[in-house]
Amino acid sequence: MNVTRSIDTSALEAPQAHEVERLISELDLADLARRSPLRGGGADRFQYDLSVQAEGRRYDVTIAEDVAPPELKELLAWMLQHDAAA
Amino acid sequence: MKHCRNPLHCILPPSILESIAVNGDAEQRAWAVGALGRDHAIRLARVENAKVRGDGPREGADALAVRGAVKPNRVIRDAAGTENVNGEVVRRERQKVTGDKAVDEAYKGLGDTFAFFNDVFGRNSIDDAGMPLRGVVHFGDRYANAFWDGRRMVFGDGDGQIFRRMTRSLDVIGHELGHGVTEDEAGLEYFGQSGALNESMSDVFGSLVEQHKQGQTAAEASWLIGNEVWTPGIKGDALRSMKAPGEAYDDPLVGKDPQPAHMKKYVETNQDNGGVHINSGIPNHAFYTVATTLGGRSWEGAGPIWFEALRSPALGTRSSFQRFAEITVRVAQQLHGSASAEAKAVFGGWEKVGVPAPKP
Repeated sequence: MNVTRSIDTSALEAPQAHEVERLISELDLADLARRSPLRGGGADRFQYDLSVQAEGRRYDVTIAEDVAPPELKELLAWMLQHDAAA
Repeated sequence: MKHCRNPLHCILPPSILESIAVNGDAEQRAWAVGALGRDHAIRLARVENAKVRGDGPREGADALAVRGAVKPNRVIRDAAGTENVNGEVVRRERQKVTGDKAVDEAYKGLGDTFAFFNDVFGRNSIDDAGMPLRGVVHFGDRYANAFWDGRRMVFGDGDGQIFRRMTRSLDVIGHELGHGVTEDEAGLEYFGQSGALNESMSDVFGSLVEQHKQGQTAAEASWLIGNEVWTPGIKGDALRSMKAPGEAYDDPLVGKDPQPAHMKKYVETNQDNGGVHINSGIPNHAFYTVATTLGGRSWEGAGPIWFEALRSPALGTRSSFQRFAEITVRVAQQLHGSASAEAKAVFGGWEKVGVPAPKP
């Protein structure tokens, strides 16, 4: 089962947009994209497909939840909460 | 890890014994099947005898394989809404009911799954050597999933909107513990077709645990995986259906069950580790077809064939559906005869889903 979340920072209030940009700046997207897909261990773990369009570049990352860095988990949590609030 | 479990196999390749078991006369077949099957009895006897042995082996002890004499060793921890899998132990083996539904459901479900593997396959826990059954409940914040992390089963409470707590479902508990068994016996890589086989074996185990607990025949079983975890508002019977892959759910919020029931609809994707939860519908439906064709109790008919195929030295960690199908036909022939009803049913099951297999 797939769950999809999408955020356009240009459609957010300024404080929220800045928060998303801060969270993204904490990630080394280029490194994650280069090493993608990042598979974890075990079975039945969540897998995330993240696509970020920023400053004219696009980064596509596929990563298992158990190897996701804390900064990425923070971004994902924000996206889930934002959608719940909407 | 795959290893040489029986010195006899080290001298004679299993393929020679398997050929004799299929092509020999009645006496030759009985000998070869016995040689191949003795491996399992020997391993179980070794575990039992290791427990009773004092300074030396008891006379005749190695010939014994005592079923039902072993007990589970369950340890349930509470993650308390965090992702800490090493939280407080809240229930150990033989401790009383706690009143926490997730804790007590996990404890009971692990016990039922242990009982199934021991009663039906003579197996002492996940590794056939008394491995503790570790469960973690209340994992994460509204975490809508359950998983096996290589050492323990972890259960979330669901988000309350789409999913209920995962410990409600015995087949989900059996599914997760089943991953440990598959890891121990076959190490099927969790990607592509081998990963879908890994997932399918867990659905097989989960369904058999449920059927065994309920005393159901193949015809009476629902063949649903996770039918207790959707909230009432979701239009779905379960997470997956082995009887009707692709028809388990169809809801505007969560989408439609994507599972195929035939190789013609095999999904090529990079998502989900190459579609392990998607394409498992194909071997799932093959097993369902074999079990219902044979009739009776699935854990007595199709179950042992699939279990011995999983344990076969011929099954590699990257085996394809076709390779597994070939092995199941051979195992059915070894166990029941070259042209037996069982071997024909296994062939028919794979034919139904479009996976090539040798015709008995």
